[in-house]
Amino acid sequence: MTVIAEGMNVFETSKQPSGTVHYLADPQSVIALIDSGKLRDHILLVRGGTTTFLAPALTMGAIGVITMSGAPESHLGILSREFQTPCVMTAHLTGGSGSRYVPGETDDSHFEEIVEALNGKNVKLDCSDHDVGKVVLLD
Amino acid sequence: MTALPDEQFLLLNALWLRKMATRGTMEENAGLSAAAAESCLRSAADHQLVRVMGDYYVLTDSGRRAVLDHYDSEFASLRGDPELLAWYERFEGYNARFLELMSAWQTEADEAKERTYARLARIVERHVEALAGAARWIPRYSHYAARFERSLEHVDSGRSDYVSSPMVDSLHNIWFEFHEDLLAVLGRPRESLED
Repeated sequence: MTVIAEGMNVFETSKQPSGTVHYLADPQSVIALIDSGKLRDHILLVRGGTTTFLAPALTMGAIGVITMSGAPESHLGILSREFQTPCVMTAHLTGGSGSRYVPGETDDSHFEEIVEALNGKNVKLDCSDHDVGKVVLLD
Repeated sequence: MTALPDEQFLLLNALWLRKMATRGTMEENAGLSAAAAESCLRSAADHQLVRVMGDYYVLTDSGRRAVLDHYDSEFASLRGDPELLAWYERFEGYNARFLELMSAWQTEADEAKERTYARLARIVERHVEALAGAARWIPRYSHYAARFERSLEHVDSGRSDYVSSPMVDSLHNIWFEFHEDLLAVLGRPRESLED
């Protein structure tokens, strides 16, 4: 089992959703993914914990979410608990440059490195721990 | 920067805040009659500001732009008002506490929930009082107060889904929409504040 990223777990669950990581940069990409009919094939990767444009994806049955910033007490965290959608927040790579998100002090390269490493990978979310959510590489 | 007709803004803003909504939800949250909402929606569809996804509506890029342009056009003059900025800072203090208590309420065992909800309701009640003051800048904010009061009544009558469920007009939904609205009034919409 290779853990390629980890972050704060929004809620403890035995669900272990798996799919290809799909980075969603803006509201249009969320709607395009819903339109494609393949929403449930993907673990969704977004930049912010306040990424409010993700709400339609949660409403339509998203199976798992990874964010690169934000806290479990955020709006998205509250929504993901309501929908019981496993969610790992402020994820960082276990390898790579070792960069960590610090509010107000993190430049774009931090986010670009995570997108580059995770987007398109087949992964499973392990949210069974109270505090730490893990992104596990499947192949 | 162009302003939308008032009712058109109310309807599109309700959709922008909710992100994806049925016509009924938009009518209720915008405080419009069914006839007015129908007319606004038809016009918005003609101008390709909205699109339909099953039972739901979503804004197109042009629709999102029209809503944000309206905020810029209508509220730019308020953005330097020191009293409004002070009011906003006080709200942010309440907001941090609200989110913390909401998260606790979602995860606590039943016996602790009642006490946490009492604290949450007190914050909402204080916010409803504060909204009366904010209505002097933005009169439509009184509609948020009415929505909060209605949801508090639902919870009091045993409908606990009105605390945080995204499927009804819950306290969390209303709070979130108000926050998003206020940030846009101040020219700081979340879509440009992603972190």
